[in-house]
Amino acid sequence: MKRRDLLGIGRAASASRYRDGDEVDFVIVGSGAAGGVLARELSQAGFSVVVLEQGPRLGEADFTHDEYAYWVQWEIAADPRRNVQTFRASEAEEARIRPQVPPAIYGRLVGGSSVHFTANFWRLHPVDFKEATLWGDIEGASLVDWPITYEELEPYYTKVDWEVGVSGQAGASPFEPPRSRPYPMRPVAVKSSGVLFDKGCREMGWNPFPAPMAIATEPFRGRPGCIHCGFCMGFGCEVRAKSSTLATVIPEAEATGRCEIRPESRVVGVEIDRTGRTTGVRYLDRERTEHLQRGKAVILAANGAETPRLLFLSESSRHPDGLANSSGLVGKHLMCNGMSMVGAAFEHELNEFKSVQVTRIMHDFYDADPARGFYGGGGIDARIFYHPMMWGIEGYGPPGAPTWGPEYKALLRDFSRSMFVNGHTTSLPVESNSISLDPKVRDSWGYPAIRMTYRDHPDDLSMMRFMQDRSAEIAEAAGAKRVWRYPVAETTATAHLLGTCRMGTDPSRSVIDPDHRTHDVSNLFICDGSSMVTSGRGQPTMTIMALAFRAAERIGDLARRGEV
Amino acid sequence: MAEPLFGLPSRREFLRASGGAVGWTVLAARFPGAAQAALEARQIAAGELPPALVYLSPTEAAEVEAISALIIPTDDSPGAREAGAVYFIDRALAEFLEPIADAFRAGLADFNRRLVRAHPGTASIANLELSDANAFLTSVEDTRFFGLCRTLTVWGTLADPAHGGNRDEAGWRMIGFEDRHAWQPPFGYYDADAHGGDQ
Repeated sequence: MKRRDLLGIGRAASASRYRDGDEVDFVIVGSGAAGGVLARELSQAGFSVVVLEQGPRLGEADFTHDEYAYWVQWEIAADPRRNVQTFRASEAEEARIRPQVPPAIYGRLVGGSSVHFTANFWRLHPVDFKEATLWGDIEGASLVDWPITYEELEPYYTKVDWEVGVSGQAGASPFEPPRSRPYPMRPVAVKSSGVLFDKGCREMGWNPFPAPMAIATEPFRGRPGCIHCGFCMGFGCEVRAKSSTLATVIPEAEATGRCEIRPESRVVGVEIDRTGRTTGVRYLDRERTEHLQRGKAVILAANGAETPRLLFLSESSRHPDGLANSSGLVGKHLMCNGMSMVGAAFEHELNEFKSVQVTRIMHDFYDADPARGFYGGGGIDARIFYHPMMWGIEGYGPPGAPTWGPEYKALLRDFSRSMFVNGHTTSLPVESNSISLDPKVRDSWGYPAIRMTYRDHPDDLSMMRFMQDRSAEIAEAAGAKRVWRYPVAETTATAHLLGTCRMGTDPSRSVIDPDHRTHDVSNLFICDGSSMVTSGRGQPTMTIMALAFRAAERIGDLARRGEV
Repeated sequence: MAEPLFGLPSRREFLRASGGAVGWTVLAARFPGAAQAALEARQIAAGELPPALVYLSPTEAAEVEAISALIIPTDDSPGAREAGAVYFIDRALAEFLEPIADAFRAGLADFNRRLVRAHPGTASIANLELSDANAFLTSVEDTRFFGLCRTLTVWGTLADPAHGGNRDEAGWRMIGFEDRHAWQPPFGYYDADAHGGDQ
């Protein structure tokens, strides 16, 4: 949140198109990766749309490089002192408030997490959609196939590439999933981390390739190319080169004249009439005055934590366990993706603080392999992971390294000579991993707080360790003078909020159908990270956007046929 | 994603600021001078205004500065003292970390009581020989006060100068970071030969 917003002098809201009481064709809750795409697609298709976003409307001129504001004070993300959240590792524990780092990290502004994300844009691979068939049952997990295939989603991935804007190099990875078109933009300029990662991977016999990124590398659809400022992860792009929905599809939705993006509108309930259909949503404006936005249909795109929370908040006598929850699976099967990390310092300067986070990745271990003895797969990248403040707290060395004094300072001074080699891996869907309402703690609006319950499946931890070993091998082979590991630990915070309203054909084992329609309410749809059936190997935003393009097409078709 | 090891104060202390709507409103109401404070900090950083304390007393600030100078010492490159980390800490306690300011002050008093017990007659850690000062700091490095002081010293050395520390970007220069609006390849030593038109 910008200070002027804090002071109550925030920028004027975008022009209102619809008045209280107007019924629109679609009310969309959330303006992030999914909500922004849905808004553009449906408004361009001729429907009237209101998008309700809990955060403020900011623009590129509002964003800064201020690490203290963004990573400590959470100015553009859900602030844990206000969007209060609790965490516990298992249902046997009492969840505790997390006032410093929220368990669910997400952007809280128009554009959602697509504004502050890192912009790694990996497609899923065909295997991601059918691993239950390939692997069978895994103890302690509920791995199932998607009801759709990679081939069905491919055209929509291509839409993301060309209509949102992804840079990369087609054909560079031997493991690349089939694609119908090349990337519209050349890959991001390689950094020293990328050169060293290339060297390390090739020494090991692996296949590094230019990272696909949602970052314009040249002028693209009215936006400038990246100017290499170095502040992507956790920050908003100051020149609109990062392909957030704020910089891309949202202005296009507004240009139709049929879409209103309404910021600072915190939805607190989905309305259901006596026939069991939704009539709209209730929301609080910035003064906390409650309004009703009526719609012929409602699409929840609020993210994998806020969407299930909203369904639980919308419980009623007809839906005592939460709306659209006859399966009992709303909020369940939360998947966060695993991440492992290795630090590496070299003799000369890399200056990783310049330009985009990641320029080279590898997918040699993407597919799960029974020979490893556990399920899992992933990718590895080379990157900057810490800007100066957090580098000084924990980036400079592993736990146990000096924390003060001359030795500490010597390690601090490796900043410009260091990079990180990170593994990004699968999370199995585990039914007890969940988002629910905290029974005791409330947020600053007075509503029950998000409670996250999460413990990585043992195979997820094994996969993280496996990838950390490979990362260390890459760093060593690249010639690092110092390599350090961050012990693989159970996940307690995540920016990947996946699987909590999973898609499926069986209403008893899923929340939405393959058209993103909830099984229980015919004119209520869900499309965001919660729709994902499996976790992929990290970097879910590309898939969330592709799902949104596909969902908009299918929902639009249903509406035109009078079937919503 | 691993949780950053902030070393910040306990949940309970933060809760004082986050106990529902009232807490946030109160916190926000206490910030009306934030924009002005940031402006002043920039002017101080630019040498247009002398540094000024807003929460700590001069005596307290001197002690915090002495501790910070042991955490990030000065050698052939700037340390926390040159970066003016104490001014960041002072402002943070008056603004964002106001809810824990009293606890910080009490921690500092306790630090000094321990110091006097260990070295009777010593009013400040600044008066000790360096080896004694470092040994004393080692003896208290597991206290919450030291953890907080360390976190804030690091932040005060490496945060944007708008927040009162990192004067003249001394901390950033020390670690080799430079904040610019834009860069062009090559970015570092290892990619110097990699940019034949690949920009």
